[in-house]
Amino acid sequence: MIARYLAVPDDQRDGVAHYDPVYGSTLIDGRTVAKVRVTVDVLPDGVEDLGTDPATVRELLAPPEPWS
Amino acid sequence: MDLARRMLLLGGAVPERDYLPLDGVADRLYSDGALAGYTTQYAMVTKVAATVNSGPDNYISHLSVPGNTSPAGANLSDVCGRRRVGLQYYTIHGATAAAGGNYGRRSDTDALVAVNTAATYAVARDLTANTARGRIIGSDGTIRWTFADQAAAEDSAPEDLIIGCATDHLFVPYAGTYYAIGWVATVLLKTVPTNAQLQAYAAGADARKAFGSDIVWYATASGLRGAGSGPILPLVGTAPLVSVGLVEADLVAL
Repeated sequence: MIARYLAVPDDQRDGVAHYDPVYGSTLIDGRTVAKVRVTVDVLPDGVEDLGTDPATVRELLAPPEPWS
Repeated sequence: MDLARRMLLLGGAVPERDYLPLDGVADRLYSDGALAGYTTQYAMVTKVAATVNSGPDNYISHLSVPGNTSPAGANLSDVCGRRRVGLQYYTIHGATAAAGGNYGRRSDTDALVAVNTAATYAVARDLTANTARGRIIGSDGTIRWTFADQAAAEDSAPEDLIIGCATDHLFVPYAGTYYAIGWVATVLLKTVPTNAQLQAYAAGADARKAFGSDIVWYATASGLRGAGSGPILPLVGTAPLVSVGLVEADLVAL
C-alpha cells in the first residue's frame, strides 16, 4: 500500500496509534510527521492528512536544530 | 546466519541490485553497534542511486557515539553529504563530545550540484594522525570532490550507523534534518580508504572486491529481498540494519 503522511500533535499520538505510524521529522508548526500504510478514516482533532507525496511534506519541515 | 544462507537470499548474484528510496521525512536505517571496537582508523562509505535536493540541512549518513545524549549533536561523530540549498555545498564534518566542531570541510562552489545523482560518499578518520578524509566519487569512478586531509581536534569512538534522517543515539530524527536518498549500500572500514579503492567500489557493485579484508561491516538494500520488513543482515559483520518506514516492497531495481 502507498504510504500516507499525517501531521500529528504530540497529544494526539494515542489517537492514531491504531494506524501503526512511523514518526519522523518535525513540521514548522511543531507537529510530527507520521508515515502510515493503512487506509485512513476518521482523524482526531489536530491531525491532518498530508497526502502521499513526500516532496510536499518536506516543504513543511521545520528548520534544523543548529549545531557546529 | 551462514554465508550460504546469505548468498541464497541474494540469489547468488551481485549484492547491489536495488535501492531503497528513503523519503527524507520518516524513513531511516540504523545499525546499533556496527562499528563498535574500531578506534585506530575507520571509514563510512555510502553509495546512493540518487539524492533529492530537498531542504536546508541534509544528511546522507552518519556515525553516532552511543551515550552522548546532551547537548544535541554531541553524538554526531562523523557526517557526510550535508548540503544547504542556496549555498549548494557538500560537507563532511564531525562533532566533539561537547557538540563543538571537531573537523569539517565543505565544497566551495556550485560545481558539485551534478553529484546530485548516483554517487559514493566517504568520510574516514585516522585517530593516530588526527585527520579526517572525505571524498565523493561518481558512479563511473570519477572523483567528484577531493581535498587534503583535515585536522581533527578530538578522537571519536562511534559505534552506530544511521542512514537517512539525522538521528540521535536512540535513532529518532532531529527536528527538520533530513535527506531523501536512494540508498544502495553502506560499507564500514577499519582503514582510511585510498582513492583507488573508492573508485573501484563506486564503479562496481560489490564492496568486498574493492576493500577486501578492510571491511568491518557491509550491507546493501538488496539484502532486504526475502526479508519483508527486515532487518537487513549484513554481508560482512553481524549487527543487523533496521529499516524504519521501508519494507521489501519498496525496493527499486537499479
